Amino acid sequence: MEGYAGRIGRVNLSNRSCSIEPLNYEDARLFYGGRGLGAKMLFDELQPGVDPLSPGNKIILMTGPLTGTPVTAANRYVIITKSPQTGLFLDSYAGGWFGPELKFAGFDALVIEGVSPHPVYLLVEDNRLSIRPAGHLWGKRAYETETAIKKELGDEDTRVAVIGPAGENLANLAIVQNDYFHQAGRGGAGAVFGSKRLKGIAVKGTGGIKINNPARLVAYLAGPVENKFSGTGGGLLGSVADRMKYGTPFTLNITNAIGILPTRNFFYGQYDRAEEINAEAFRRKVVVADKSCYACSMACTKFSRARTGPYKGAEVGGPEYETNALFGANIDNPSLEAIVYLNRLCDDLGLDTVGAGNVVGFTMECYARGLITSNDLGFTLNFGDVAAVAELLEMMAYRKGLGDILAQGVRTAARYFGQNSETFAMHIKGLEYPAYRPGPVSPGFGLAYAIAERGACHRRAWPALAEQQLPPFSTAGRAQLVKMLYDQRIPWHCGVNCDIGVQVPGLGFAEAAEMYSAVTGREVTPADMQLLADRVATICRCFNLREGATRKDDTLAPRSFMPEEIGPGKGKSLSKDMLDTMLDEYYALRGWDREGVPTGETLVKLSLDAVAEKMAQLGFKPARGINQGIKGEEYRGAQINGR
Amino acid sequence: MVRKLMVDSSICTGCQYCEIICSLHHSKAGEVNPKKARIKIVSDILHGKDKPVVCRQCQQPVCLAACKFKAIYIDTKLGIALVDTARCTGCGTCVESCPFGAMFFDPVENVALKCDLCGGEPQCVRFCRTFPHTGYPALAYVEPRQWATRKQGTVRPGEPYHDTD
Ligand code: SF4
Ligand code: SF4
Repeated sequence: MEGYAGRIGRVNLSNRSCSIEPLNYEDARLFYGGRGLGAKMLFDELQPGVDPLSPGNKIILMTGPLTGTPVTAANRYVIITKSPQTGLFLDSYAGGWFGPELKFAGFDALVIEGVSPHPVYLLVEDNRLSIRPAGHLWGKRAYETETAIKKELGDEDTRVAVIGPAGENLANLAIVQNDYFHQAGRGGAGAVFGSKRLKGIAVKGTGGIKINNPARLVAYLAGPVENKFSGTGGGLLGSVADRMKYGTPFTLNITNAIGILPTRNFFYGQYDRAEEINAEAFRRKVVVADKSCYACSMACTKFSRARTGPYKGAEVGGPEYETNALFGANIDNPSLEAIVYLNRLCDDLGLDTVGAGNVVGFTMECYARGLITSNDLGFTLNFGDVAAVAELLEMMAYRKGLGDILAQGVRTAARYFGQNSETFAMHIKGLEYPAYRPGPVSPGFGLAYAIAERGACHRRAWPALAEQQLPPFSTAGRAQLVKMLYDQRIPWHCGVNCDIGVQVPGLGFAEAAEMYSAVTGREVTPADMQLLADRVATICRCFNLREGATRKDDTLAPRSFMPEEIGPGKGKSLSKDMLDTMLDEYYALRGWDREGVPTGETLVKLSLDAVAEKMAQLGFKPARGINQGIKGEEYRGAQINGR
Repeated sequence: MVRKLMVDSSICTGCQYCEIICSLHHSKAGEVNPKKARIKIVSDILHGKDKPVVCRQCQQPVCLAACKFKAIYIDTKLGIALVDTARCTGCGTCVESCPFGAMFFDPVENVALKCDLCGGEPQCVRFCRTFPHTGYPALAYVEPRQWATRKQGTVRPGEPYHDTD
């Protein structure tokens, strides 16, 4: 099969050994690549119950057969690991150029195990792997680290992924950042890097990626795919044009209108100053240039600069919608210039802007309610106080004072603060809500959040708009919709493609099947894409079940069940019964039982016989209580002290 | 007036589609390899700048004059300089001589890589997107005069998309 590099690099940091293994093509036929193949490898290789920050956890950095090819937005890599934040399955994606470069260097994937005694970084060069010292880089912030590695290697075109101080200090909110402005943001992959004392990965490749049928692929891209972008009216589809002009921040107009824009720690679903941070304001005030990742002509990275005010001069590739919402409406900050600044600061510290924005909103609410005071913090923390937020972010990345707790995420913070603060701690399975606020106007988003295996996540199914066509304030049709939207993304998550780059023009199973076929030379059909989606959803589920997750974990934060104060859903609420109804329906559609456990029949139908065997050995029962993501303390303490 | 590949760096998004398609089109093995492309995007990611660099198809090619092995010749069909790979020794003199840094090099095959306009149908321009808000692509196969007039009036007030500070 073409498209694949055919090799997996395995690195054990404990004994400094590097080896190269052939890709298992049998697995690749079933799981394709990226999320699917990575999930299979993680399920097979990880000891159940392993502490996410212990040497036993692994970083499986995957590309897919489409990565680096001309296929629309085929620019991603995904880090598959056990999340320190949820103790469950984590797949965290990033765009840019790093993923394609790994393929050009001859690798489909890297598997990183063990823990290094000293800080190191990994160098991948045309079929060679080497471990290099990073003592001189340890402590440096992310942007500086990337530049330093490029300088050291004497090649500006090297693609580099790094962690910042937050990752070194094992913050659950720590990201991996590559190509300066691209982040594998959610779930704490940066902390797993930090736990292994892995400061980064540098990749240089001069090889090519073989395409089975280039003429077929190029003709398909220039024809049917291009027609998807332009729609029937000629020119460009309106939705595509909006994303090209405003990037993801266009979403803010939608969520504010529907009433699901998180405002003041998700208390409200609409922001009274939204027009100061909406798509038009964004383009007018801060956007400087349209930037794309590899092989994507959407250019949703809007390079931005604060042109006025106290943060004048701050620049960032972004911000994305999530950041505008969570560091805007959610903390009651109507200044886009301040958002650009905070975005850059988070990146540099190595913090996830989504998780951090959520935690900051939560902390502000705690402060407003008097659960914490300026004595606890050393300063006041009113909603909208950007300077205080900057201070708080530094404390989180360096684990100073209260920042030590906050860096572990909102679940841990709520446990620490107590006093009922868990009722407004916005997370699922330990992962902070991104910038969508499920509620009576969006029950489907509630379901999408609840069933996402990495915790509250908007990138598995995105029913925000489609749901508005269904009967309002009802669960009708939500399970079917969410499953369909979730499944549609899976071929791309295995590709690995950017789901925005393909979803906005509406590329579905048919397009995926055609492009997989043209690239790999193995003819696959839309029905094969559906099978792949079901298979991947189910193996991820099995991973979580094995770690002790149950139906009880497929829920929402208590605040999501409260009646709406304002907006289109005023006075109404999303009830637990509604969620239960949707879960029952969703599990049934998946061929899982009422507890969300895939039946033996389903597993066999999906060619997951080996998984079925392992699950049977466990009696299909949860093996242990759900890992609450705080077991890592032991290792954290040992590592921080041992440095 | 002959048509050329014209570029506008202020619009270039750095998507590399041009490099990707160029490399695939010229590859005998059916491989994508942007490092073998005959167009190169020189990027300064940190400052949001991307600059497409491609042969200007000089009337009196500096590269042709520089080559001591007569490996660069004027093609009769399009009237542009092309590299005769059989004669090219891989010495790199042409690469150094090009005032635009637009002659590239394939270290594996050990030959100079020059834009050949794909024989008159440049493939890169097919994939360089025209954004609705800018009205024209970063890369086009047009007469230089045409390009200059197209450019006028496309920067609309209130819609900055390139560095004005
Ligand atoms: S295809 Fe166009 S926008 Fe993309 S890198 Fe090339 S010149 Fe720039
Ligand atoms: S390679 Fe350089 S010198 Fe030669 S024709 Fe092109 S622009 Fe002119």
